[in-house]
Formats: sequence, structure tokens, C-alpha cells
Amino acid sequence: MSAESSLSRRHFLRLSIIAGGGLLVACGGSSSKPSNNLSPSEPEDNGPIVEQQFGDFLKIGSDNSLTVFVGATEIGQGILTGIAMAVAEELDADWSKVKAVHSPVAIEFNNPYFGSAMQSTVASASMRGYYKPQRQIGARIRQLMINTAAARWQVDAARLQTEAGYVIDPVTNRSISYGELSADAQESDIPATAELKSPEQYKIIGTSQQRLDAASKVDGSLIYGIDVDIPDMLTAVIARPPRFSGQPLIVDSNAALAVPGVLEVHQLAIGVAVVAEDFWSAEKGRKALEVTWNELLASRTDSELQRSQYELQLNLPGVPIRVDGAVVPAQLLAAETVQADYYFPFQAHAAMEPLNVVIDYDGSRAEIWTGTQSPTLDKLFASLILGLPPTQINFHIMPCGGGFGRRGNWLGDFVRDACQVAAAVRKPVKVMWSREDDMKGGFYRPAAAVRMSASLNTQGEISAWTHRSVTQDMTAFLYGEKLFDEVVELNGGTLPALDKVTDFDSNFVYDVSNVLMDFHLVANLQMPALWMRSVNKYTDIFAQETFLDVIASRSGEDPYQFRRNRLSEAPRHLAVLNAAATAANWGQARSGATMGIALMGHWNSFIAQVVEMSISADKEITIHKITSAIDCGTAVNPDLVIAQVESAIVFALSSIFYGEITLDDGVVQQSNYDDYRVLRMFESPEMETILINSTEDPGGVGEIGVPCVGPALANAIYAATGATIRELPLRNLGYSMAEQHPEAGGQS
Amino acid sequence: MYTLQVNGISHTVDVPGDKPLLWVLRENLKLTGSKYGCGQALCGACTVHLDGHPVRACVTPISAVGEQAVRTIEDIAYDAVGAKVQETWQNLNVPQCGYCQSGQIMAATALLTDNPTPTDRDIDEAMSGNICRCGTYPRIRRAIHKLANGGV
Amino acid sequence: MKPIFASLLLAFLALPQLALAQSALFQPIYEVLTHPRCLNCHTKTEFPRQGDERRRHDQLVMRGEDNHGVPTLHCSACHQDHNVADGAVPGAPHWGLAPLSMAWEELSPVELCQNLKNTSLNGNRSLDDLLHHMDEDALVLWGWEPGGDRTTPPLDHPEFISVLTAWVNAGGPCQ
Repeated sequence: MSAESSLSRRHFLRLSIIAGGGLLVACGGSSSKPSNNLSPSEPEDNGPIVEQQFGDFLKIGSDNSLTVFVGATEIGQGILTGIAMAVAEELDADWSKVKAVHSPVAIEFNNPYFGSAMQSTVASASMRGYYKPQRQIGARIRQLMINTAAARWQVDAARLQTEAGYVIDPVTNRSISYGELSADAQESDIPATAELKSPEQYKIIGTSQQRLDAASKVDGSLIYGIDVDIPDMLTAVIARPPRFSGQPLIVDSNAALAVPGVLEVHQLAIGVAVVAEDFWSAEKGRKALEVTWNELLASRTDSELQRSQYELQLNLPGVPIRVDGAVVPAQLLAAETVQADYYFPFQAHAAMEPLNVVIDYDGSRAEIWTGTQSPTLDKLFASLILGLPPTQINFHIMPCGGGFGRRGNWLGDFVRDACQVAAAVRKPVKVMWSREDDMKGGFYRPAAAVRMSASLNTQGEISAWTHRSVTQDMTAFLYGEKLFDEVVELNGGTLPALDKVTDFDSNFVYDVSNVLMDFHLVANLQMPALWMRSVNKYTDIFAQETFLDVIASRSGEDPYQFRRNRLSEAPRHLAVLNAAATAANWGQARSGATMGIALMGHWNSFIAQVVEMSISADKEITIHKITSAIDCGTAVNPDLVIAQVESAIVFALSSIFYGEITLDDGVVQQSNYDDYRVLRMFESPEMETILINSTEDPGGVGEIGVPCVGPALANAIYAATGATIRELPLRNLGYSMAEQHPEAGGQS
Repeated sequence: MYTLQVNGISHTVDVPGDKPLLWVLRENLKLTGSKYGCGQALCGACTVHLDGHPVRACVTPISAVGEQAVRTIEDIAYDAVGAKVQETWQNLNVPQCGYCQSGQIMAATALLTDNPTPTDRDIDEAMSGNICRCGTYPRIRRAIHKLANGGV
Repeated sequence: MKPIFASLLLAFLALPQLALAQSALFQPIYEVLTHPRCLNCHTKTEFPRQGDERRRHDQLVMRGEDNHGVPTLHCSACHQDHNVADGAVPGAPHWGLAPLSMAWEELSPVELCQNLKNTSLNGNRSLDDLLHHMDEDALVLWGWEPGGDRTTPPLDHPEFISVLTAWVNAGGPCQ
């Protein structure tokens, strides 16, 4: 089947961000009401609404409302809305009356993707993991409603239908709402199984809906972790050592305690906690603190030194993670072998809401509120540190002001820190991280070095392809942590095998017979690294996709055609590649501009992105447009899929131009958004995103828009100037970003 | 002791003069819609209006507020422009994590009040002090254009 | 003819520098006035600069009609009448850009000196007014107490005032 014919059969949902025409956004379930001046908004009181809970996952109110409990964390990706849509679809609920809330932290809500071992909102896994089971829940409750109505009406359940929160008897034209049935329905067992709809029956899935949390995110009423306020709550900040793994040796707290509002100072293993009546006093107290640090065992990671070490390691064979064919003989027979080395620095997630945890711990029980992507492990760590059985801990997952992986630390660092404070204070306390704490607090995207090589045979075809990475992964930390073993044991030892967590394969799909990918996983226990949105794909896809353009140019081939001609085994890759090239008018860049393209597939999703840009003599870049084509299988809420791609592009551009944490003899050099720049409005380019309609199972969406932006831009620079970009961020190479006033911006 | 006019209501707070307005709003008055993001006027998450002008509450000492009227996100729905901004933000699914959006909405409301038909350049000048790490800029721009075309 | 023409041309090109050789009295003043603490807001651009590298102000801050920012982002949205956030955010009374007539960027010492004295450009200030302004204006004084780890001009403020006084007493020579 030719690419064109496969393409033509697909239904394209084309949404231009700037033009915006045709984007249908229906109303969500929550009503927007301005809150009064002194208290957060309360749900509207409509009198005595009785809610009945069915199983663990949902409640139906006598007003026919549906409340869905979601085990994944809302970090901005829209998962509360997406999972509620999946449940409401199969339940045939009235979408205008649907609410979604975070579930408790309990095994029932564990993500099946992680072997149902934990709730963890990482790896773009929420919709992938919860989609089917949550639809089954909806379908089973729908069947329960039908059965209940059939019993009430004394008719055969098989003839009853459902629609928008009602059971309907088409024979008698009677109908009754789920709300009215809900009390009776409690008397019956929930059917063990129920048939799922086929995609053509969907009424909610696949439609662009307004986010359920949109109203509360525009009127200031949504309570994030940082907004939690409980009676008699104190506020603590922690003075941390200048270098990771340092410890306080001598603490002079006199000046700190003299600051009005400062109540207590506690010397802890991790640092010194200053506890005050409010954040401002705590901050002042911390500044007044005098601490001598024991840095005998502290991290001395140095960015420059580390880079030279990584680059040396590129010369040594690593652990093979993919071996296709026989690379070495092919290399020996090759007419030539081309090689390129890449380097990428540490990066901070820099989510807008600094880390924070509220704990109310009195020695016998604890209540914890925090925005976290990893509540199960956080809670287990809390139980170990506080010496409480998990049943004595009430853990509230709060909406997160951004996560990007930082709030998904399987080592639970910020909750553990807060538990140490709470154990010392034994009063309700909010442990706050300032922006500087957050920026300097480690758990960064790890630095990486990559070596690519391609061997070309006498016909100029790629006969061998190698890809070697040197990087650090949190896995090294997990192995190094005694506590983690205990946690795994506590949880029944069912956490996924650690080698499954590490996924370094770049999923190279081009038609090359001999492929070797290997990696060095550097263990540096003193240098906390963590996953960050798109994880190693950010570095490995950058290297792969830019190197591919260099190889294509040797034979004078067009980068799009070069890829297109080598995707015989990857139809979904090919489809997005063609879709992006078509939408971007590949080959017809505006005057003075060039285009670059990049392609990847991961976690059952596929994306191709085209960057069209111009570059001035002094390396100032104007991005005219970024065109993306994504196939994520079933797009549960297409508009939010588009939003994730937009989000990923901006996130990627921040990384590509600016993203760099540097360490000088162990000390992090960046502290805030002035020396750790992220993209601002005037740097945000025009975007168009093509969503390829599919009924395949949903793939991951939150991360896949990130990795291709960099190589597509670098390939456009290469096309324009011949310069090869072998390290990021671009700022270090003298590139800058022009003001990007989108030309079509005024047309919506 | 400082007496403040916040959202049309007079409040008296007993705090040190250097305590930033943001923390008085959040901690003393329990108005948590204005967010802490950077503490150095770099991100705009704390944007409130003082006498109608957007300011960064995280660096505004309470002693500098005086008799200026403070308006926060909790009250902006009672402003005709503000209500439209909120509605359009919802309709276009602008917020993602939402943390910066209070500040974005306060900045956009000030922009559209000052200039009902802003150009892209005007939008950039008014909105580039407000960081969104989720990258909702394309939709913020689209929402502002929509408001401009729809007439506020 | 040709060599003579060429040397005439060379002489002509060199002339401004030769003819406008700067005043030794003004040179230390020039070095202060062109320090980033002063120059970043005495720009000839539609925007302020920041840092010793003199980068464009980060938030796309604009000069605005009255040199105090655009209505949607006044200078005072962030800058107070004193340094705040432990000096991270600099501030002084009437914080703002100098008017374009007082732009000092890319001026030679002689040009800057002449502009400084030019009452049609300098806010109608006499030499004594200038001295008084440099001695007492809070925003000028901020340059020597800029907060954070910002660098300060090459002379301390009393030294600056004493060289400025000497220059004023000499009648403000530019050459």
C-alpha cells in the first residue's frame, strides 16, 4: 500500500491553533461562579442531594450527577477530564453533570500499567493504563442501572436503552434517571462484566470537551497543595547544604529565633528546618541562620569535569539494549563510517508551583496534602519515616502546578523531607520550597553524551547504525537506596522490575539491518537525577534525527524523502511523517526560510514535526511555524491532545534554547527564572497540529511532543547554514531567539 | 498595622512592613488565588491590580500599598472585561496546570481594559512578564484575539 | 594625485578623534556614566537593559510613552522605591528609563560630555544642576547601592562627586 493511499483513508482532524476555526468546545460540567471575597468557592448548594457510591470509582447523585474518582494525578495534562470521559462514555452519563476528583491513595486506584502496584503519573501512562478498566467500570454501572430499571418496571432488561444519564424503555417510552435509580441500585450487586461500546458508538470519547477544571482554574478557586490551609498550621522552610549530601554540622539558631514569627529551629539530617508562623518569617529566619556544613561526603559533581568523563566513556562499549543483525562485520565491510558525538547538560523541571507538603502529624496518625505524581510510594515512605502503619495516614493528592516528572520521584524526596520536619515539629506544618530551593534541589534531567555512527556501503546505503548513550538514571538511585527495598517489600514486592523502568531504546525504525544500541548507566549517588518530560528521548531522538539528516545530505537526499523511503516496516510512523510534511508544505518554505523534520514513535503514539525558520547572520532565529502530526490512537479529548502538543513544543523550545543547570564543584549555579530561562510569550511561535484519527488504543500524549522539536529545528538550521548542532542549549552556541510575532495571530 | 482595600473590602493586618502583599493576601486574608512562583517578579504568577494596574504582589511590600485599591483574581469576575477573559479562557481550554493563570488573567484583563484591540506586539509586551511552564501561550494569544474581535 | 587624496581622506577620517580629543577631567566621569548601572536605563532603545552583559530586559519590558513602561507593564509593577527580595529586584524612587534625549549608549566621551551639558537635551540643567542631581538624586545614588551582587561604577560616589566637581569648576570641558 502506498503512503498516499494509506493516508487518504485516514480522517484528518485538522486544528490550527492560530486560526482556530471549527474547534468545537462544549461546556463542561462545573459551573463558574465567582467566589466570595474571603473564602474559597463552595459547591452550589442545591438542597439535599444524596450521593450513592458504586464500587470504588464513582458516585451518582440524586440530581443525576456523576462523580468519578481518578487514580492519576492532574498535573495539567487533563487526566481528570479524560478519565471521567472514558467512564461517562460507557455509563452513558450526562456529561454536563460529570465531576472528577482525585481518588484516595489505595490499591484499587493503582495504575494497571505499573502492574497495579502503584499510583504513579509518569511515563505518559495514565490513559494507557486506566482507559480500559475505567470504561469497564462505566459499562458495569450502566448495566446495573438497566437491571435496576428493569426490576422496577418489571420488563426485560435486554430491551432497555440508556442515554445521557437516563434508562429508557423504547416500548413504553418511559425513562428514569440514574439519580432516581441510584438508591435502589445500591441493593443489587454490580454486574461482574459488561460489554464495552465499539468506537463508532462513542458519543463522548473522541469529542473535544472543555476541561472539567477549567472554571476553577480561571477564578483562583482551585486549591493546589500550596494553598492548603488547616487550623494552627505553621510554615517551615529548610536550609539545605550548598552541595548535595552535605549535612549540618554546627547550627547557630539564635539570630533566626530572634526573627519575629520564627518559633522553632530543628537540625535534621537533610538540613535545618526553620518553623514560623508564616512563610515570610520563616524565610527571614532562614537567612539569619548560621550553619557550618559537613561536606566531607558531599557531591563534588562538576559540569565541565563530568562532560569530559562522559565523552571518554563514549569510547567504551556499553550495555547493549538493542542488537539487530551484526554491526561489526557490516562496519568492517563499509565504504565509510561517519560518526558524531553529542552532549546535553542537566536540566531543571522548574514547574510553576514550587514543591510543598502539608503534614498534620501528632505521633499516632498523620494527614498529608501534596501535589504529587507518585502518591503510593510517597505514602509508604511517610509511613516508614513517621513510624505509622499506612492505615494511619490520610494522604490527599492535590492538583499540581506542573509536574513534568519532578513530582513523580519514586524516592519521594520532598515528602520524606517534610516528614522529617513533621516528626520534629509534631504540629500541623506546611513545608515550603522557595523557587531557589526548587531550582537548586536536584533531581534534574540527567546530563547525557551520545555517540552516533552510520556505516555506508559502496552503494551509499546505511549498512550499520550505532547509538551509544552515557547518562545517569534514577535507577542508579533506586538500587542505591536501602529504604526502597523496604518500600517494595511493604508493597508486596509487585513493583515493576527496575529494568522495565529504564527505557533507553530510541525506537529506531528505519530500514537498517544492522543496529547496535548500547548505554552506560552512570551511577552517581550524590547527584540526584530524575526523569523529566520525555526522559532520554529528548537527548537520544535529538542525536538520532539530526544525525540522520547529515547522512541524508551525503547522498544529496531530501530529509523527508530519505525517511519516507526507509519506513517499510513502520506504517504509523510513515503516516505521521507524510501528514506533517503535507501540512507544512514541505519543500515550499517561505522566502529565506528553511524547514527541518523529525520523527519518532513511543508508547503507542507517533509524531512528526516540521520546523520552518529563518536565521540571521548573527544566528538570531525566527521560527515561522511548527507543524506537528500526531497519531496517539484514540484521542479521548482531541482538543486536549492538541493542547499537550502545544505545551510540549513550548517546553521543548525552553530546553533547546536555554535549558541548562550547571554545577561548579558540586554547587548548582542557577537559582530562579532569571538565570534559568524558560520561554516567554514573545518567543512562542505559530503552531499547527494535525491529529490523525484512529481507533487504536490510546497512546501516551503528555511527552511525545517534546523530543522532535529540537532535531527538527537543528535540521532546519543545518539546511540553512550547514552548521551541525551537536550540543544544547543553543544559547551556548551563540544562537538566540528573535521575537516571534505569529503572522496569523490576528485571524482567529 | 496596615489597612488595605482588597476587592472593595477594608482589611487591617498586623504584619511587618516588608511582608509582600502576596503573602498578606495568601496567608493573612486567605485569598490563595494569587500564586507564589518566583518571589522576584520574574514569573508573574502573583499578578494583582493596584488601582487597576498590574503589579507583582510578591515584591510589593505591604508598606507600599497605602490606599491603592487591590484587586485579585477572586474579584475579577465582577469586572466586565475580567469576566469575559475568564469565560474565553474556559471556552478555549487555555489552562493546563492552571497555576500561572490567575496572573495571566489579571495581565490580560489589564491589557484589554487599556487596549481593547491589541496587536500581537501589544500582546507580547503586556504578557511576556507572565511565565507559563505548560506553554499555554498559543491559546492565551488566541483568547486575547478572540476577545479583541468579539469586542470587550 | 591619488596618494594625496588618500592621505587627505585618512586625515579627514582621523579628524574627529584628533580634534575632539577628550578632556582628562571628563574621562573618569565618562567611565562612571557608561557603567551598566547607569547605561542600562540611559538607553537609546525602546527598552531597558539589564545585567553587566547589558542584555535586553527579560520580560520584553518597554520604554512606554513616559519612559516608565507601558500601561500593561509599568516599571513600578516590579520595581519599588528601594531594593527588595534581598536585592534581587532593584529599586529606587521614580525608577524608570532616562528620556531618549539623555540616551548615552554608543556615545564617545566627547559626545556624551557635550550631550550632558546640552540644556536642550539634559532637562535644562546647568552644570551646577547636574552636580546637584548627581550628588543627591535617589535614583542616581542607587547606582552605588544596587543590591544583590551587582557591580558598581568604577569610582565610589564621593570620588565621583569630587571629579565631577572638578569638571564643573573647570567649566565642564569636553576636550
